[in-house]
Amino acid sequence: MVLESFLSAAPALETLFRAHAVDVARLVQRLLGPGAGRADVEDLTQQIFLAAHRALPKFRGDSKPSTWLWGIATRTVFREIRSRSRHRKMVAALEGMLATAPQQSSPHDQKLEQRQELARVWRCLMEINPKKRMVFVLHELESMSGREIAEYLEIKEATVHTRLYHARRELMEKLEKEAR
Amino acid sequence: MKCPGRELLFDPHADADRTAFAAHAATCEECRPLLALHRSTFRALEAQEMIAVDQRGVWAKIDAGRRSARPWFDWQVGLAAAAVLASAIFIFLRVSDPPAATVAVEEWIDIAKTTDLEFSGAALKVGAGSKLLFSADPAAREIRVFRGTVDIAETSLEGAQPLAIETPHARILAVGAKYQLHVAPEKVRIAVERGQITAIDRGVEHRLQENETLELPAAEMPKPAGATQNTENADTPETAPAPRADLEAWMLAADTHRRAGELERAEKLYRRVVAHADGAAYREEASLRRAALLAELGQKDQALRVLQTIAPGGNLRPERAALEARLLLDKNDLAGAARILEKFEDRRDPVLESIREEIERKK
Repeated sequence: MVLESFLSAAPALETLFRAHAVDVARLVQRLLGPGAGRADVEDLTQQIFLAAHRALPKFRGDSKPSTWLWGIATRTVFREIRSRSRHRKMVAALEGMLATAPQQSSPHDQKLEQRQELARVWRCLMEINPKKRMVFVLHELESMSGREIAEYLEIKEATVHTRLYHARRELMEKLEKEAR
Repeated sequence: MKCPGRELLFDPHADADRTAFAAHAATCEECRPLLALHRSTFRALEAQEMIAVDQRGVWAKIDAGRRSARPWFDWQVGLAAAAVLASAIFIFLRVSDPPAATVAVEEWIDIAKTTDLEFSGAALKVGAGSKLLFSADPAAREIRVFRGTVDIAETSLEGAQPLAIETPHARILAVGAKYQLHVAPEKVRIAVERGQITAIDRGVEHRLQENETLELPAAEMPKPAGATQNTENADTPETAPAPRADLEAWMLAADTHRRAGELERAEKLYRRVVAHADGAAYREEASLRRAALLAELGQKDQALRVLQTIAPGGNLRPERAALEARLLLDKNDLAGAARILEKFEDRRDPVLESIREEIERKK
């Protein structure tokens, strides 16, 4: 056994994790919505860094590391939110959040009301095609530009704008319908 | 028919405050409720509470996952190899009674109850409470045993590649032998029932024949002549150099503890290697791993001091630079972190680049 056999534990991925784990976990939560639990977020964060680990040898420095990692993260989450079982699970969690009736006037209940309002919005968002929903969340909640989103999702910027337009429109129409 | 002014709200080029739509809604009764709904929607979305993830737990899973991911493979080759490997693992690692169960490779396995396994042509009976790791490459024929009791019946013919068992105390090689290992923190006991085995302990080969037994103690730290220095608390104690085999055994044990999440014990062993290494290679590698562990344990100043003892002015490895720059950045020493990174002109290292970005952001 030689020393070189120990060198596979190089800290590069670890350093990348330290630098970006919090942001990646936040991005995952934003994209999954409030229906996701801690286990879902941790599981996807783990998947993203493992995907990054597999892709590291091919990183050539053509983009910033954060751009590169964001691309991996968004595409990994996108694959996940397209899955029917994930969709069902998230919707069921949102329905569960809406099922608890808040009592009036206590601070605890105000928080519950806020959560329910969020769940109502997300229930409508979950009815939108994941491609459009993804662009909506990245732009509206993560303040990413059309160009950045196009780069991460590997699509044209014009496609980002089209999806954003439809997502905004569909969401407001669904919310209006629900409010009536 | 809906008011055409609504389109201003959905325009992909509209600003975050929807100024144009708000101006329109001020004079349009039909659109005013839509503006209110839009605002309450975004208040709700922005109020989403973020769950704090268990970073250490997530990292432990990633670390275990990457070890089995074999990233050095090109993925197409990896895919083909994975298919071959999956069949190989299924054949080699099969629980004989009950049949058709498999165990993981390249990750430490805790055996809860006595289990019969087959690995690369050897029949193993692994005692309850054992902890071991099987190499993912069946051709390597290597098992690491951290603790516990293993009965091995190896049926290969003479001339075949020996089955190698690595413990924190010794490396044991056998072809066509039947023997038992009992691995405890303080010693390994080897009892041969049939055939012949070779145990290598700190560079010394021991050959054991049928019915012979050997006990090898854990690699002891050599005592420095006439010194009473407490090496547990010193970063660079002046001690006698240890044989290379000792250093390797300590490194193995430290890595094992690290992967098992026993960070303090791992840190002590890396410190031991640093203290007794006779040459820069072991000292630098052990110091780097120790510093990474100290940082993980939250002892960042200590980690920085350890890093700064490594070959000042010598070659700077990217792993070390990344860790040192990150620690300096955490201390808000932007100039210090930038100085470290200046030594790397090649801008392709994603980790170093991410630290550069953070320095720029903080400036």
